[in-house]
Amino acid sequence: MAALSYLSVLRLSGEAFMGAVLTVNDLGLPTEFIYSEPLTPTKLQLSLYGTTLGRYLMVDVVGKGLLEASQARGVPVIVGHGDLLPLATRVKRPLCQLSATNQRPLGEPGQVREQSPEEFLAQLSEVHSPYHFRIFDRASFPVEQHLPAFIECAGRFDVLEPQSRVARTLELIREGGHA
Amino acid sequence: MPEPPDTRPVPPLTASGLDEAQLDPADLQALRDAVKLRTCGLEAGATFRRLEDFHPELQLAGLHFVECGLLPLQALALRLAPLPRQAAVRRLAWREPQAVVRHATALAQQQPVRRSRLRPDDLPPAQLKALLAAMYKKYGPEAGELEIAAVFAHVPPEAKAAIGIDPALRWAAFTLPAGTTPQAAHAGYYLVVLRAKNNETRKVLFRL
Repeated sequence: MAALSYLSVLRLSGEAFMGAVLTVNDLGLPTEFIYSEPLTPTKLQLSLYGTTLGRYLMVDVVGKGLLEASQARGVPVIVGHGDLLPLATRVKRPLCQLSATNQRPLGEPGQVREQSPEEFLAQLSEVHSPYHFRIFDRASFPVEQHLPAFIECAGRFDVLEPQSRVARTLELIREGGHA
Repeated sequence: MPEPPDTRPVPPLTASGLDEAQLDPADLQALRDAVKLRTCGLEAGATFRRLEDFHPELQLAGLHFVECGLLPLQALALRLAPLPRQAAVRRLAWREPQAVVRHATALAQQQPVRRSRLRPDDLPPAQLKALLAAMYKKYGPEAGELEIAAVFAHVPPEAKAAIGIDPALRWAAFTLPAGTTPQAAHAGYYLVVLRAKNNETRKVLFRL
């Protein structure tokens, strides 16, 4: 049964970060949701890491920590921001950034049009526009192996819709009503 | 105005003098550097009397105390307090930031799941035919008076008690009842909004 995960990392005020991973089944229904508590670096860490702190916290601490804690092993991950794509070298899960297009359908579901080594268009459903995929590299995201999961899910729900639920749930947690 | 003569008594050095031949250049430099450091804590006075004037044994090649105005008492401290051969290195340890991960699956399952309206040509012909057949099966000849206003795909029947539809029929949102696992939700059900000639709407779940 196909499944997809959605990873989002938010930058809060200052240098604080907070993230979440939502995993859904082939109907888009949540099977797992984990989040990281707001992480605020100390003054010493701010001084030592300097300008690299933001990227380090987002990718190596919050993003990697969430994906390693997730029980959805091997499930493709859709990241909310392209800065998270380097996570592909740190965790054993395929990562991609997904966006909708207004282009004409490429043909049958599964058709792929390469745009660059890190970007391609893929037809996921019969009549809709293709989706734009952005990946870290081909080695971390074998298209033939992982595209079927996207096709199965896209046939049943909008594969970009769960991202809004991640943001909404994180906002609820930040408001403190459900932490 | 000329500087008044320094008449302070010079305390003698009791230990044997430093032997230049016993010190290598690196040690001489370390001694020189350490003297500069030690004068900071020994209240070096603003004097430029040369130490080696008082203690000839300190007349080492390249070693000049005049830059830091070392007083005889300070020279005694050097003799009595051995200089370190190496700088004391301390490793600054700091706590690596770590993410604290929490589970909140139940909270995520309370969030509405949204389905966009299907466009007229989004349904494959076979499914459209199946939908029309299901309408006739349910409503009989009255089905001919009904218009398909909107279709939303894969709305599980388990969520039928908690379905909300956009007034403009752009989307439908639903949540599963508490205690219903996602694995228990059935696929293949379509939420269809039918409109009669009197503009009355009916919301029906069909399995296609």
